[in-house]
Amino acid sequence: MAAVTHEQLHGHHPGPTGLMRWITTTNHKDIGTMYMIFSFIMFLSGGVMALTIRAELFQPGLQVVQPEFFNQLTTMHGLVMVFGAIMPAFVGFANWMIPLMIGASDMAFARMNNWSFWLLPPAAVLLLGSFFVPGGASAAGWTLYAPLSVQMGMGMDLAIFAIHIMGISSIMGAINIVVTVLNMRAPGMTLMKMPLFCWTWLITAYLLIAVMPVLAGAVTMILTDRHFGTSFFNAAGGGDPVMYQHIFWFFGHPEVYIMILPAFGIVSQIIPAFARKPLFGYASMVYATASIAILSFAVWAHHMFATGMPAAGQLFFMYATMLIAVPTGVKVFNWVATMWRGAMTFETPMLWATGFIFVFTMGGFTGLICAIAPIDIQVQDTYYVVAHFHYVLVAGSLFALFAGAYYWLPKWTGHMPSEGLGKLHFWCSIVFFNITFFPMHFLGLAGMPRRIPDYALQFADFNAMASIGAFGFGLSQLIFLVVVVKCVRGGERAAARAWEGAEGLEWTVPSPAPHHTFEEAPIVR
Amino acid sequence: MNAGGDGPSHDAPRRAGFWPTMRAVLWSFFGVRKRQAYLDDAGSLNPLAVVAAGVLAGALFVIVIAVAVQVVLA
Ligand code: HEM
Ligand SMILES: [Cu+2]
Repeated sequence: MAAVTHEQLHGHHPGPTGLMRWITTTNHKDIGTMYMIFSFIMFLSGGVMALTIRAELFQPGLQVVQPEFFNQLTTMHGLVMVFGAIMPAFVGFANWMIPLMIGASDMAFARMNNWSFWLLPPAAVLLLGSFFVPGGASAAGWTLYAPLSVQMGMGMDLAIFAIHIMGISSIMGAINIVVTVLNMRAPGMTLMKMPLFCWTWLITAYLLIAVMPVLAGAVTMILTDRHFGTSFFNAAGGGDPVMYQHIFWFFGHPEVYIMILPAFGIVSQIIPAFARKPLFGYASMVYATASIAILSFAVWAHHMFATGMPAAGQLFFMYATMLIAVPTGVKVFNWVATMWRGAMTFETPMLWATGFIFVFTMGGFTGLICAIAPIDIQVQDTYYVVAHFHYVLVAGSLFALFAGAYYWLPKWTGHMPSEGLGKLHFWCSIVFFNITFFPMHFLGLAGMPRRIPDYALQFADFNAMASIGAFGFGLSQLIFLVVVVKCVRGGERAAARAWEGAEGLEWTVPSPAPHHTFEEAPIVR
Repeated sequence: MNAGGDGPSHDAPRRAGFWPTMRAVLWSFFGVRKRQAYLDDAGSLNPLAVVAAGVLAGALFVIVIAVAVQVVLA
């Protein structure tokens, strides 16, 4: 609270300029912008790693990289995308939009907000810098399974420290969001009226607070196993490597919901705006989100069907996982029902949102298939799983982020993003995405294992196809960069309510949103 | 700064009993709730009770599935 008062008192003095403005800022919009720029840089870094992987897999045999380096690439691609790109991007959206949506003047803990962000660049330096230390980066997979992670070189230690730092950043960000949403809503902005994006982020923030410490504990146990003589996971010392998997996935499954619930929130803002109808089943959406969050703690071992669980364990996690898909399915139903008989138009944000529904749903279905224990024992650790989680993470989380970016760019920059380029970006992305990842289902069913630099000849054609698609997808993302740069520099002026059907407090302030908004709390009726 | 309260009944005590709270949570597991029921909930439920009911229902969920598994395996 003190920090907010400080910000309000001093907000109108000429503050530091140039670089110092960004280093010292406590403004939620500045911090949101920095989060998003950071995550886009990490997205491109992780993308370069992915394209190197796909270049190696274009043909059977080893052409581009050594197997050791290949394993570092798959590991770092996963870590960079999850912790560097997707999660910070959503936090950036939260910073920019939650205060605007609930009519608050800033985040509750403005200075802690600054620190949450500025922890990330050092973490990224540790993570990316680990490629250059003796032995290279961690190659244990993004899940950092023991015993590999206990044996790696010092790149592993750097990854552990990076995860610690990013975890602290996430926890502080989450506390900030919880307190902001619960305490700083404008008069009349009851929880019942709150935009769904704020709801999904509120629940996500609780999930973050609950599970980031679990991850921190897991990697700390690896660290002490590596350096301080403990044997939590080291079988030679009486430890249990499978216990690591339990701890990791107790974090890991809620983590996948951390990466998708805010995406659900964004899509739930956009669909009503372009269908010109209120969200169908708003109440159900809130309830379903909450229950997904609770139940997501009871399904973690569906990632471990192949570890030799007793039959009772396999059945338990199989049933629980299938049941948790019900509230997820209800959400998809509600979006479709919102569109039903709506006066729909397909501007770029809506294109991305509808694309999200189609492609994310496919990922949900393959998840259900993986959840069937006898099937999963076949497809576990094959490209089928790779296909599943890219359908939910790229076509889910990432597409929703793009949808949200196109939707709110007018509010951020004051200019409308180019419709032509935005549509081109969408169509290239969705076509190349499917060219890349759809064949991976077939590869997985045919038995191609994941995380390998070379493969048997019968997998060659689908791999070539996936690699071509991947380069197309990667290059298409540069269109987005062009759109954003153009949008920042000029273009058609955006009205306060940039989209005809858009509802919510954020559309009552001018575009671009002034540096300080809602210093007088608006009254919501 | 503080928004103060969540609804028309802000000043009225939130005294929904055990069963209405449980019912709201259990509907949430299915992911469906009627608008009117939701409005009633929002006016009457105590957030702390909802959290407690959520944890309880989560435990119940686990127990029910565990029992179902035992039945299947028996
Ligand atoms: C209907 C909902 C879903 C179901 C039933 C489901 C089920 C599963 C199952 C059973 C696995 C393990 C497969 C294996 O390793 O053999 C899995 C893996 C995975 N899922 Fe999902 N999932 C769902 C939604 C999601 C969502 C929304 C995300 C993220 C946004 C996600 C991300 C992942 C990731 C990252 C993995 C692989 C982790 C790894 O091994 O590296 N899933 N899913
Ligand atoms: Cu999972």
